[in-house]
Amino acid sequence: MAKRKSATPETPEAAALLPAGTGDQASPSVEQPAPSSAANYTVLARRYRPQQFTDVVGQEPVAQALVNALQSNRVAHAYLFTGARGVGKTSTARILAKALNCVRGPTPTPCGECDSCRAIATGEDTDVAEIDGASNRTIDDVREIRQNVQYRPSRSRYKIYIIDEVHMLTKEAFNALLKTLEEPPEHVKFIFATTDVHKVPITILSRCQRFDFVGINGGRIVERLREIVAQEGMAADDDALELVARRGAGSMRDAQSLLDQLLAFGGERLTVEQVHRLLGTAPADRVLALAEAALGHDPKRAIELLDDAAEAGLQLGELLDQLIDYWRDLMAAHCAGAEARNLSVVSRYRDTLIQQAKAAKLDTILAGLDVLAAAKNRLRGSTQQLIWLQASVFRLARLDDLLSVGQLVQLLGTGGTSATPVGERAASERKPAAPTSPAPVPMPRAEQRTSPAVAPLSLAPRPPTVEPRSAPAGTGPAGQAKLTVDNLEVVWPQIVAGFPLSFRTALERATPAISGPNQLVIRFPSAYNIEHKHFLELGGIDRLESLLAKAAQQKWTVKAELTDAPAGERPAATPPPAINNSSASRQQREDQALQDALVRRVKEVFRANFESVDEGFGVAPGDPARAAEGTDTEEA
Amino acid sequence: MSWQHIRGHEALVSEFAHAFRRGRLAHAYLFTGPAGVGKRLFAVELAKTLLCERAATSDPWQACDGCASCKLVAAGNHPDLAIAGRPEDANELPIQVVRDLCQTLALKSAFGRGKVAILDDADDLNEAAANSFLKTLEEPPPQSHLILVGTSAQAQLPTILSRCQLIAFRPLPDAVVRDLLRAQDVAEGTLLERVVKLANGSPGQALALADPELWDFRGALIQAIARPPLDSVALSQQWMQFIEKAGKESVNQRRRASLTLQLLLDFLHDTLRVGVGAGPRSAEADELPLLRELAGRGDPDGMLDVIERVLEAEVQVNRYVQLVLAIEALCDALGRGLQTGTAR
Repeated sequence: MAKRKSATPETPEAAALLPAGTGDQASPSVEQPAPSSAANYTVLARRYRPQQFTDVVGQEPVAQALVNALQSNRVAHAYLFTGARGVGKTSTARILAKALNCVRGPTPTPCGECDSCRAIATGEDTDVAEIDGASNRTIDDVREIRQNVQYRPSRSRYKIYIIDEVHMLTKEAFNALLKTLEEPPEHVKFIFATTDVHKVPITILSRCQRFDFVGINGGRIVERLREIVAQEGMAADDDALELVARRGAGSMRDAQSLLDQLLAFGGERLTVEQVHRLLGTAPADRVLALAEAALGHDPKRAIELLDDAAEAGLQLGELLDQLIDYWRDLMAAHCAGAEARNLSVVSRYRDTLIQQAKAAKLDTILAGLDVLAAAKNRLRGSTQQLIWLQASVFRLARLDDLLSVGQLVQLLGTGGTSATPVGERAASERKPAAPTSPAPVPMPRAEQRTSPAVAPLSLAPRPPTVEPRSAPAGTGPAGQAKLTVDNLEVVWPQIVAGFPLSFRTALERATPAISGPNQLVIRFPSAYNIEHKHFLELGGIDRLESLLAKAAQQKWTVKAELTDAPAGERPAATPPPAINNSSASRQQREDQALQDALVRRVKEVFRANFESVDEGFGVAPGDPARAAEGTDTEEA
Repeated sequence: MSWQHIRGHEALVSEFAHAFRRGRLAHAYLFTGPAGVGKRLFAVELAKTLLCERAATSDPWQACDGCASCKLVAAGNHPDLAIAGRPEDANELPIQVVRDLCQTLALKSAFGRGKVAILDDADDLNEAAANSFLKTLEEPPPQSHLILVGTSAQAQLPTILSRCQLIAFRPLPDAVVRDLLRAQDVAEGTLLERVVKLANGSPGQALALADPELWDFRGALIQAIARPPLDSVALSQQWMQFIEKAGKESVNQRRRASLTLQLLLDFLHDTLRVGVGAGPRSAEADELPLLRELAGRGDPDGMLDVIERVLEAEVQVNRYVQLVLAIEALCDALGRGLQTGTAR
């Protein structure tokens, strides 16, 4: 009970100070104040703050290490506790302080009754300074510490500085602390606690013993919550507690805050419905219905479901989180089937989930996760949550419409004409595909030029045995689905379009080039170094490589580099009109390009428009080699 | 008076009453919900109730509105009620505001009934400010209550969230919004109805939208979009002029920009909805043919891209990107997007 309230009349703190579950908690400090003294209530997270190393739930390794240090008299002079919020850093720091300064100590089991222990528990001890590093972050604050360090503690063994939120100290403050931290007087101990250890300079880290607090297992949280509920004299359904623990996401304090709120607002017995209502989260069947609509390609239904959700006052941000969890479940269930573990879906709907997962393609599920994750990022800064969410779910519902690259390749090869996917794109067709004759025979390319290899445009992926793996780009036998210098320009935008939005923006800044046998280089103008970095960090290379491998049935190596070329020289997606300043007019060049059978097919199948035609597109007459190899394909 | 003048949040009021009577009010709350639904009003009322000296009433949950304490709260200068927020001229809530607030909270209560601190604009807490709040938020001095008022939990650090109890305010029912608008002298008629529909249950937003000039501009915007070769240069000029008419203060300009974007978004959103056969959310019946035509013109993916682009612009406007840049870039993208069906 980190009760600061010296004003609180009752003294059951001692009772609550005892380890949880030692059975000796006849009357834990459950305050039953008269209604008018509502202002006296102390939240659960504070009242049930652990007071012994054995109380700290889920941090046994840390606790054990500290206990051993205390027992063997090897306590270091500086500790750094890191970990997520609400896992016990500050609590452990206080316990360690008590253990060191307890009248009967140093001992791994501080008595909790002596003056020192009690004062430390309330944060008022003269020799244990608990400093808020975020509010006292300047060098002057540190200088004050340095000045006081030399004086001996007033009554206890050690002078202990607990600096919480230490990551917020300024650089100067950190540096001013270094000397003291390395060789403090023997009566001084430092304990730092922070959630963001990466903001702490390396020089500080190297002077501290670092302990990483792990997230707390959900089951342990439920156990603890159950104890608390019992001690508070309330009742709760196990399902509800599990939901609360899951929401805590490894943080005991989060879970306790939530439980506190539920106990305050809810009825006599805590139920799942209450949790959902309080959190504004959707009950499982709502999420399930939404997922069904999205996986069943029914954008209308999905949009209407979201309308209902908004009307019911659900928190849309939460709903998105739930969807993400659900898609993660789908992914797990697709891969592991009935053996999938750690599913967030309630057990009642487990079978439905597994069915849905089996029916969906893994690619679709993964793409769905991408869409949802991107939406989560965007939702944060927007006030238009409903529109964001509907747009994202709309995308989700159309995912299968985006044919995979492999399928397109096949489509081109088999002479299928319409890339129109299963969705209702037909309903909103921009224009009837007039020039698209039903099933043109494979097109000979010999129309414009004589070519030794009059290869049919059969681009269906070949079985790997036929695959000349090491064939350098552009010299493989005709009829191979391949990416070459020639078709790169055409194919590239479609490759880009196959990426999720987060990549697309980056890729559109880049220029692709083929640098060698099966080597693709994406050049980012130096002005777009951020996109370059972004692309690398998101694992764009891997994605691109796997995409190319799938489409071209060949292993491609992809590199991304920065060039000095001024930005805008040739941004792939939106070339400035300056490109047209060549001899041939744009129209002429488009016409010329149209003579290429491949381009025509691309135009038909994708219903594509010219964005630009590069000068010298098409094969110059008298270049049969290129003509021959040009029988390559497009991808979406 | 007291709690009765909090409109549309009856469920929350009764939940708080419940917690209050059980003696389980927490010391830190984070109020979230759309802007303009009365979160701050609620917070002040809660403060009044907590601080009330209750000479007159038997029910401690109802502030008496008669004692010195209640009157001071109503007048906005109760010594035990500290209200802080983002300074007018700043984009974020600086650390100093939080420090001051924590300091006031550390002082003894003047009336002896504890202290209440309300931090408005909690969304705009900058990193240093948020961190400097953590210790006080976790273990404030005895008998103190902290209420953070923001729009969404996602805007807060996880460390802040884990210390607060989250209270989500829901949008108000349309009827309540309508009543409140009437009380604000918004004339009856189509404007009022449309505004109520668009406001998403926020009277504050509704009031801001109830500006005939805004709707005139919306008309122009939709005209421009409906006729495909979109002259993005002219449109962005027109747009900026309209925004600049909101006044010299950048806050007002930003506000207006965000409102125009919202109107545009709602229109595009309706187009998307009509495209898949769902009913429009805000458009009037006379706009339906136009929506259908637009929806039929491009494929839904193109419309999605356009919508995402506009949403992005909205985020930019909220994040203090230069207005001219945001709007011009948007117009440019719109021009291209509506032609080819995709806005990249």
